[in-house]
Amino acid sequence: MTTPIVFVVDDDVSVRESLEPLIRWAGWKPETFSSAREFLARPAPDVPSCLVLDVDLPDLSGLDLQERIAADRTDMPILFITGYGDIPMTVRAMKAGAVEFLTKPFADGVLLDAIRLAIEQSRAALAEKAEVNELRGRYATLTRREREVMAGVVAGRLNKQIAAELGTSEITVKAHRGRVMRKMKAASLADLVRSAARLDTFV
Amino acid sequence: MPTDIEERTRAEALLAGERRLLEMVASGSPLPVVLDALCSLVESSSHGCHCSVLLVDPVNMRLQHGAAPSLPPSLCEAIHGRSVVPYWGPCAMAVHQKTQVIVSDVADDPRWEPYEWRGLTLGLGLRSCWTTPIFSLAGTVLGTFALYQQEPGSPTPLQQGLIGQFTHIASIAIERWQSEAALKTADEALGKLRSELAHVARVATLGALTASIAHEVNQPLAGIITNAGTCLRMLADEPPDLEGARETARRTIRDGNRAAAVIGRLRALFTNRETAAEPVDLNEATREVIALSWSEIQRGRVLVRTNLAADLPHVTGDRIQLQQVVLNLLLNALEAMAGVDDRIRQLAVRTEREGDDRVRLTVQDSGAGFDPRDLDRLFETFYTTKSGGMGIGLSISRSIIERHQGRLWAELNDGPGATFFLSIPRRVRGMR
Repeated sequence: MTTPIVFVVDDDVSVRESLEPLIRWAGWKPETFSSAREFLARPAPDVPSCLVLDVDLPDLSGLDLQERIAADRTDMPILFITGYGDIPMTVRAMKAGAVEFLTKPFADGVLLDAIRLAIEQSRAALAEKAEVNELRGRYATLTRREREVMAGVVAGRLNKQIAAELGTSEITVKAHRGRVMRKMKAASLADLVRSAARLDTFV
Repeated sequence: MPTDIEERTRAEALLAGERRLLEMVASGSPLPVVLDALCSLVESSSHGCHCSVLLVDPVNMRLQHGAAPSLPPSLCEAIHGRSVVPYWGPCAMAVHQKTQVIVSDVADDPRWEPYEWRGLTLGLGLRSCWTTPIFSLAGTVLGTFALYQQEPGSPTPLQQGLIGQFTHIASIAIERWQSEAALKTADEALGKLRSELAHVARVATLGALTASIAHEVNQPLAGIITNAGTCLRMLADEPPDLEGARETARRTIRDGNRAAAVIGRLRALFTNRETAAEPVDLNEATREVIALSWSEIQRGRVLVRTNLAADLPHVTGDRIQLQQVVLNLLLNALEAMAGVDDRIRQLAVRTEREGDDRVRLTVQDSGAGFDPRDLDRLFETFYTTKSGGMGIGLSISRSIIERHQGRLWAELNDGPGATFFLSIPRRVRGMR
C-alpha cells in the first residue's frame, strides 16, 4: 500500500508511546525509534514519508542527523521536537530546511498539520524524482548523434548551424531531431528544453 | 571568744569549702547549684547569717534571684524581676551605685521607709542587711551578695573579709556561666547558619538544574497532552473508538505517575532536613544522581562511564546529603568540560572498596583542570572559578563528608582534567 510513513525518533518512552496511536488515527503508518543509529539502519522507503525528530538524542543530536541525511533524503522532510527549545537551535534547524520546530508539550493538532504538510512535500518530491527517472530512461535510448543534436537544439541553434558543427547535412539533422522529439516524448520545443533542464539538475 | 583550735578548724573548713566551690565551677555545675552551695557555706561559718545572691540582667537592668537557701520564698519572689531603679531595697542601691550598702538597723534606717522591703524584712525577723556588689573582671556589676542578720549591727573585719572572699568566688562562678551561655548561643547560631548555607547551596544547584528539571518533566507532560488529544479524536470518530480512547487514558495515567516520580525525586534531594544515619548503598545513590542529571549530561555532549564495584559494602550515613555531594562533583565536572572542543568530553564515575572498612568514590573529568596552586583553596567557602558561581558547593560537600568522618580531595590527572576523591568509613561513630 502507499500509506505514508511517519518516522518518530525520540529517546523518551512517553513521547514515542503517545505519538504512535495519534499518527495511526490520522491515517498514516507510524514507525518509532529510540536513537538516531536505530533509525539510520532502516532503509529509505519508496512511499511518501516524514521524520518527527527529537533534538536531544543520546547518541547523535537531531541537528547532526539532519545534516547527515540532508543530501540523500530530500523526499523525507523533518519536523523537530524538543523539551528545551532555545532560539539559536530553532534558527539553525529551520535554516537547514526543517518543516517545523515544536517544543514539548505541543498541541496534537499543530503536529498533525505539520505532518500533513510534510507528507505533501514528500509526495511532490517523490513524484518529481519519478518523472526525472522516466526522462533519464528516455534519454538513455538516444544514440550519441541524437544527443549531440538535442544539445544543439535546446541551446537554440538552427538546424543549419548544428549541421555545420557536426559536419553533416541539414536533412540528417532534421531526421535526428524528429527521432529525439519522439523518443523524449516532447510535445514541443519548449517541452524538450524543460526536459533537458530537469535532466541537467539531476545529472 | 572562739579558741585557737576552733578558729583553725573553722578556717580549714572554710578553705575546704571554697575549694569545693571552685571545683564545682570548674566542672561546669549549674549556676544555681554553685550559688546555693556558696550561700550554705557562708551560713555554716557565720552563725545567724542568712545569705542571698542576686543576679543582674544587664539588658533590662532587673534583679534576678540567684540563691537564698535560708530566706523565705516571700522575700525572694518579691525581689525577683524588680528593676534596679528606683531602689526597692539596699541590693538595688548597691547595684546602681556600685558600692557596698550597710543597713545596720532596718527599723531605723530612713532610706528604706518608703519601700515594701522594710516591712517584709522586719516581718521576717531580720534587723540588718549588708549587701555587696559582685563585680566582673571588666568592672561591671554581675549581681549582689547580701547577708541578713536577726540582730542589728555592722560587719566585723572578719565578716568583711568573708564577704570579700565570697563575692570573688561568686564573680568567678557567674562570669564562667555567662561565657558558657554565650558559647552555646554562638554554637547554635553557627549550626543554624551552616544548615541555611547548605540549603542555599542546594537551591543554587537547583537553579543550575532548572533546564534539566523542566526537560524531564516536559517529557511525560508531552505524553499526557498528546494522549488526551488522541483520546478526544477517537471519541469524536463515527463510530467512536472506545478501546483506543481507553488505552490513551491508561497511558495518560502512566505518564502522570512518571511526572510525579520525577518531582518526588527532586523534592527528596532538595528539602531542608536533619542529618540522618542509615545504611546507604552508594552505588544506587550514585546511579540516581546520574539519572537525575542525565539531561545536563546529554546537553553537554559528555560521555559517561560508570565503574561501580559489585561488592561495595553499605556505608552508614545520610543518603540525601551524600547524593548532594555526588551531584555537586558531577555538576562541577560538567562545568569544567563545558568549554572543551578539541577532545572527547569524558566523565568517569567509579566506586570501590578501600581497605577493609572504607569506601571510595571518584569522579574524573577531561576538562580544564585547575591551577595546582589552588589545590587547597578549591574547598574554601566562596572560592569559585565560575562566573556565576557562589563557591559554596565544595566547601559544603567537604563539611558533609567530614561529618561522615571521611575525606574529600582533588588531584590533577596525568592527562587533561581533574579527579575528585571521596573516601568514607563504613561505620560512623556518633554522627553529629
